[in-house]
Amino acid sequence: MSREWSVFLDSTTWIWLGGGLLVTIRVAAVVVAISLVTGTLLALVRLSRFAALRWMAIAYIDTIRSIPVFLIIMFTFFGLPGIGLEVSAAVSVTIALTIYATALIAEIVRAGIVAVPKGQVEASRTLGLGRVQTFCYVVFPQAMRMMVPPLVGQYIILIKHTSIGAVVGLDELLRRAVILYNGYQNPAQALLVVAVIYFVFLYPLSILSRKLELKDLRAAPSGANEFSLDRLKPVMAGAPVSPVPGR
Amino acid sequence: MTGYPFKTVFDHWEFIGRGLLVTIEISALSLVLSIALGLLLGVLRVVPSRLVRGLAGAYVEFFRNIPPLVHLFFLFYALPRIGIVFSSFMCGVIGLTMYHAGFVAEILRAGIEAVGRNQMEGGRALGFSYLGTMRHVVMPQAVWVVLPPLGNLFISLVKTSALVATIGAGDLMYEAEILHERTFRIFEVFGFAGLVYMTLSLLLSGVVHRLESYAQVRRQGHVA
Repeated sequence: MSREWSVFLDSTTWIWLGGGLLVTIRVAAVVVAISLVTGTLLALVRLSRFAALRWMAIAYIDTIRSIPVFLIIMFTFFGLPGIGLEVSAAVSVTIALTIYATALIAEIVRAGIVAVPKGQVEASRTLGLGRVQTFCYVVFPQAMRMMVPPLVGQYIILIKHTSIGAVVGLDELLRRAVILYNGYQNPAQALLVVAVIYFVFLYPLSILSRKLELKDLRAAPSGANEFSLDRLKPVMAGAPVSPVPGR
Repeated sequence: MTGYPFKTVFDHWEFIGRGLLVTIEISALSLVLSIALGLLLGVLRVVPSRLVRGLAGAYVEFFRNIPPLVHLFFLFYALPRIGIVFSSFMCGVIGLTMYHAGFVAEILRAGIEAVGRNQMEGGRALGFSYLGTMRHVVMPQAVWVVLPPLGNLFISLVKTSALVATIGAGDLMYEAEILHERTFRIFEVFGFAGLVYMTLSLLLSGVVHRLESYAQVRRQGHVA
């Protein structure tokens, strides 16, 4: 076997690439954790009663969504030191991806919240729950179910975006592959192996996302939250009815 | 900043102008090619043969689930080793095409499935061949389902095309980097590049909105 392939029989190669994958996962995980919170907050601002706040959120979301992630990464990588913040490549890439993911997640969360029927809010307000309680106990849990499939899809894209970090020197999977093939002069083999690693890592996620989407379609054929005569059928047949519909 | 905002950029306007042209060229070429390749893959994914379906599916799943940067590096750094040399511009076009064709195929498949089996069965029953039914019955209806998502994909393609700067294809992002290295005006240069990308995206999303409303009318026309 040629040297180009035989380096992949060596365990140190895999430890090297595995370390890169860990960095990829770590950066992605931090971005996911932060952007879930900031994205939800931004979605709330986007749905705020005050027009000024709403417009600011729209401006942020539309700006970020319409420029390349690569540009945001370059911006933070060169821009943060420019304003006196000396940070590592990992931090600047994490910040860039968080800026980006916040905007996209805000849109997903907003779509989820808007999709909850108005009747739910009216009903819970009638039952005496406050605005915050209505949001936390009634609207958000239902919105969450609709948000999960697009969120998983978004995170797949996010993990793919972490590879751009290699360009600014983030020590992740692709960068380690580049260092590897610069040493062994085997770019075709190294990149193929890395492509397979990315695939093995991301394909299950994309299957999950698709499964969740299909499940959602089945679970809510035509607005599970709307009152339907079907729900009364067991009552008419004398069966006990669970107080929570659909459980 | 001295003078007016973005003075540095306007003083060296040829950088951004040149880059913008290349970005538009690369995006347009990749769009056309990825629609062609995606069309082929999308049709292959719904043909009766299980083997062909599987192969097309494998392509779509594999190429969608690896970062586009890996495609570009493979084309630019690995292929010359086995004697296949493309210019960095062509690497950009081919890489973006390979990546986005998978998405086009998925959109097309969803569109073909949205038309429904009945149309295919009806066409076959009337004596059309499989391809004839595809061409004359299914596709004309599917076009209106797939146009808006294709438009959105094009917007994301334009943004992804910024990655070809990493292999030196001379696009907008690349020229912005060069200008930044010459002038060290980070916020002006990248800020202006951002504004140009924004303008491109917003123009395109305006077109997509028009398409969406038009497609809705056409779809309802077909359903009725």
